[in-house]
Amino acid sequence: MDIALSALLLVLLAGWFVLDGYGLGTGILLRPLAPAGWPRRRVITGVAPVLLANEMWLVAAAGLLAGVFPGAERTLAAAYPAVVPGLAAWVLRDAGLWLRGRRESLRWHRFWESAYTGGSIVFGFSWGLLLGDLAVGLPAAAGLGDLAVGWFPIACGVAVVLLLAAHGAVFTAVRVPSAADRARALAARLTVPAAAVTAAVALAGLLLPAVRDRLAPAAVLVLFAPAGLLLARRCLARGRTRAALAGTSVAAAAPVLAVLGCAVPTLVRLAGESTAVGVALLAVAPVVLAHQALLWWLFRRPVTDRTVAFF
Amino acid sequence: MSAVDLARAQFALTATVHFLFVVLTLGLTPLIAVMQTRYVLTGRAVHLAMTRYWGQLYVVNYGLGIVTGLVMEFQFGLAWTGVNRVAGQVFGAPLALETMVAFFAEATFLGIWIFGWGALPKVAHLVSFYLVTITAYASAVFIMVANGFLQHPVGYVLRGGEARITDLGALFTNPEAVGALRHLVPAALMLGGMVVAGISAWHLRKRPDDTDVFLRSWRIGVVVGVVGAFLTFLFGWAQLDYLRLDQPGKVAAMVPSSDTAPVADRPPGWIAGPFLFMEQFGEFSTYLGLFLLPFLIRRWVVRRRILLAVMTWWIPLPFVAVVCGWLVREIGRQPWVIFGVLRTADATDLSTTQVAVSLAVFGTVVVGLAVTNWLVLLTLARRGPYRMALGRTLGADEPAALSPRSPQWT
Repeated sequence: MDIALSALLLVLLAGWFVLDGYGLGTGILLRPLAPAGWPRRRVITGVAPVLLANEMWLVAAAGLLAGVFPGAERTLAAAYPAVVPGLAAWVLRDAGLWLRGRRESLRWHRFWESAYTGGSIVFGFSWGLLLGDLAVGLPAAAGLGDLAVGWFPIACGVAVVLLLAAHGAVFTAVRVPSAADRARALAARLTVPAAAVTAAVALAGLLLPAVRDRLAPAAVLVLFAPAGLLLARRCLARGRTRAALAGTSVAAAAPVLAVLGCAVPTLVRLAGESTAVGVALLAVAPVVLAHQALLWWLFRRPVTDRTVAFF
Repeated sequence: MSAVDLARAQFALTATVHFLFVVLTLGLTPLIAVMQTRYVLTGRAVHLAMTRYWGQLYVVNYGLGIVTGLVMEFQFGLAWTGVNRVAGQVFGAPLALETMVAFFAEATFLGIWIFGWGALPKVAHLVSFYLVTITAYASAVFIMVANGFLQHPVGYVLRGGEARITDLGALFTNPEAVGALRHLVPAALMLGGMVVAGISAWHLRKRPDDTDVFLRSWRIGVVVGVVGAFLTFLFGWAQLDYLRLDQPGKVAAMVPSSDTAPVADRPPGWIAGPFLFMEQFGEFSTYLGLFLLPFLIRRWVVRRRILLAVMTWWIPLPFVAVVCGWLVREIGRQPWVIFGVLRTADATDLSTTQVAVSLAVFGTVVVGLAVTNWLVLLTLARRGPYRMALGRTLGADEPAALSPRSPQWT
């Protein structure tokens, strides 16, 4: 059962990267995606209906960590320099979206759009830091000042931001027709650099003894990131935006699956003992998937002038 | 200040702000569910206007509840490593269940409700709000179970210095959880009712000729407020029965005159102050409610300007009272973080600098956002049921050049 619960944790985190990665990527690229005013509001309205539900994947992962892997939750404290800015950025990103539409003033809009963009960049970067920290082993990363290792989490941060930006652009191209041309152009420009950086970071990680010590077969999954991005690039060139989205989705899920996939044996060792709690959590997982599917089915249509907006 | 003091300050700040938003969320959901049900049953525009007006205040309020809740959830892992080490398996269980069972569904169906206006069949749209209401209260149950464990640890065994769940049922039927829920649920309804009545009173005073939406809202607010206040008062005192046995030090500090024997680990005596405020507020609210009952008849309250003004200025008081309640409960548990098991002083191993940085970051963000959000709520509340944000389509706002107009909600 510990393995099933670890798998659930991985599914929740991968799901979060794919789904909320859309919100983050859109936030990162908000300015270039659409000019200020109504066109930009349309881009935000693409994210709006799914925002709350998407971030719940990460909230649930955190809950699962607290309830089933309390020992692993403690490693969050060891990764303080990555988690605190990430959490603050998460709050800012949400507040930016939540408050943006509440006043009809351009300055107000610009301020909260910046909070959304800034929050998205820092949140994505912090996730890269955290994954990099986990890949090199947390105790080492607590001394980030050590340049021989310290560059790696930062490189991971840059890679995650680029990757999510490309993913957000492709997602926007699918969901917001009014911004689709710009989104496709941005995605086409971003996929190759993002693929190059993720591939370079993944290979460079192998140079670090700390990373090599921790290597498990799951680490191969990280190669799906550049592969997915390059596939997305080919699909975009042929005008198949939805297929491109499948590519960037695989890419978005790959890094977290690779890093935490290697950590599964540790997770299993740290798992709590209550069978009742584990069973309850596993039993409710299909229900969660069902209402998530319902939400995406309800809001499957692209944004038009008849779409309800709130932000 | 030590790392523990700073971590406590940070937790107190985020928990207080979080609760101010959460309690209004809990208080408003059932009222909005009733309003929307009446709209679906009768199809009358006034019920739709009420649902959308109070619904948009509820949704704006909800946003801050979420973000402050995120900060709280992560603090358990970030700052309170001692709680995690000793009782992570027990304390974390209700939190994990809360996120997976309740919060996930609540956020999903709230998204469906906010963005499904006009797109979903009316009944399906109403059902999504019922699910939001049910899961919101389910969340409260899980959270109070977690908090109840800190107050009165049950259903566990300590093995090798680590607590393990032995009886999940005992955890959920903990009197400290059940008793507190019976107090908290009517308190949330009381607060929701008082906010609705207070805002409605403001509109009735400003526009005594336009009473359609706000006289109805005022009546609902008063009835829920007075019933809530009475039940809160009743179940508040009922908690003392088991508190005298479980946490005699808390009772001794709350009611200094009571004849409880002195105990070694006493919480600070100043919690008598918040306790007194809470208790007096409950009593006066019940009197005010009884005084208001005759005014429910016909339009008697309209043009009673002083009475209406009092009700508007009453709005902050229930917020102060519920925060007092938390202060009594949480400070009253000191010097323990898990009563009788783990002392607060031993509950964190972070350095002072780390906690100070995090307090500065989250303190600024949380307080800044809370104030901004209240100002936004104030603007929306004063605007009345016109140009409503909830259920508005993109085309309703965009200039015609951008998109052809389509039939609109007004």
